[in-house]
Amino acid sequence: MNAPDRYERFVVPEGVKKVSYERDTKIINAATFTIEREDHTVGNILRMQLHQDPNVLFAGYKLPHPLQYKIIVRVSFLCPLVHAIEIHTTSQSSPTQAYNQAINDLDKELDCLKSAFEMLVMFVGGDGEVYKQLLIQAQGTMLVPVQSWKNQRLSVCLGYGLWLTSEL
Amino acid sequence: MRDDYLKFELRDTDASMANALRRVMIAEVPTVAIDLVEIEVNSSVLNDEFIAHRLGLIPLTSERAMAMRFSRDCDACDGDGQCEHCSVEFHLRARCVGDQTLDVTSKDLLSSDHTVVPVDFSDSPAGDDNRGIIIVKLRKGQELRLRAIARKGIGKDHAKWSPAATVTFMYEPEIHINEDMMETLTPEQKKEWVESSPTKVFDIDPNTHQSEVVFSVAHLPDKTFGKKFPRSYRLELIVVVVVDPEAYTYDDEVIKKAEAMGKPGLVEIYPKEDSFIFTVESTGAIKASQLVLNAIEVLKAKLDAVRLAEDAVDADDFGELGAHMRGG
Repeated sequence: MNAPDRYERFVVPEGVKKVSYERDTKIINAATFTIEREDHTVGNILRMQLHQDPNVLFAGYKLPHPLQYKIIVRVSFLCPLVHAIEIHTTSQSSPTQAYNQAINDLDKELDCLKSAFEMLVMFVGGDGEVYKQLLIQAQGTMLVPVQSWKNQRLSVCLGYGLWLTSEL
Repeated sequence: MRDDYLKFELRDTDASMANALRRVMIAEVPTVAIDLVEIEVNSSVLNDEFIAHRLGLIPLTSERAMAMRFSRDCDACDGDGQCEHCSVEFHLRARCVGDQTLDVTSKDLLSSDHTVVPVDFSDSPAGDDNRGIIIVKLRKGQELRLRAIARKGIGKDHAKWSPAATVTFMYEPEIHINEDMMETLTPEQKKEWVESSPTKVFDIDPNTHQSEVVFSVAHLPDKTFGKKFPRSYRLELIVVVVVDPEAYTYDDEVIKKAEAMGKPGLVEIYPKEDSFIFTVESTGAIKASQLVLNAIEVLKAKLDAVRLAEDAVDADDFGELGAHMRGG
């Protein structure tokens, strides 16, 4: 049998770098990142997060082939010549920094989501009495109970503009 | 919210994050499942491979899975999957002696670790007669004896490791009823329109339902409104309200109905593109709420792994040309 091992899809082989980075030779401030053994899960959130960065001119990703277990992320920066005034403020920025910044921001967002969700489970998971007690305490804080027309719901907000709502 | 079912709303984020969470929940949250089966005796009607496959698909309680090691990178054992860090052993011995057919179920699987056992649905509302998951049926004289090793894995490797039965998300619908236009409908038309939706999204407000207000102006002198004005009349107030926007399936039936009634624009429905309604159903291996938390953890770990090494960032100076371009 010459079938490749199933785990080859998500285990980075020895001697291969998880992330490799190559600068574009023709466009200033543009680079290509090749991420081994990742797919749309990471590719798409990275791309969308990079779009949030005002210094990023272009960000895209592709999965070159379903049997090549890697994604390629291309990031291009605003050309400093066009935005001469911004040179000093963005002089520290480069595709690599934008890339790492995007990951850090996503990390923060997930942290926030996690604590919000934990809180939600704590409130919704407990019995009704505990919940009511906590609701009184939570007034004016990040917990916002929402009374809908039919069923009572609980919303949790924890900074970052993240909201979670669950039926009780 | 139940142990195996959870519905929640995720707001102020985009579809990429919602989809990443969904994908991670389905394919990358680890669980424990039977991966290696050594059959000692099998005289049942099913062949060895068939039974091994059925064993693999039995969900095992996997609260401990996040802390366990994958057997391929476990350094305490030499990869044969028999150490406490990466595997759990199961034994099954069953032999039919009576005339009745014997059902061999997941309850006959004896685990070496009490934290990893076949899931028990006995407290679920559906099962009244609880016998676990049937693996094979034995006739008189048939026997099944085997040893199985369960390992940690992820759904990307094989679907048996997937902790999620279904994970879905949809955009939250924003529904606007044109109140003025709604008032031009007769109560019968309103009811007809409310019932045209296949799911119960709209309803007649019970507080106003069938209430007939008798409005009397009899005590006023005739000249107040003129002779033509009725002395008393009945005002029927039937208000259509949105009771459950989450039940809307984007089927457009109510919009088509409104058009068919000659009232286009009666209702406007559009998806809120930054608000998602998630439905998570677990196989029972992990609680649905824990599944979401684990998914967030796994996604964080994945992002950590794709972070560029510090030296790579420092080395990136774009050469002299880059420095020049940046005005250096």
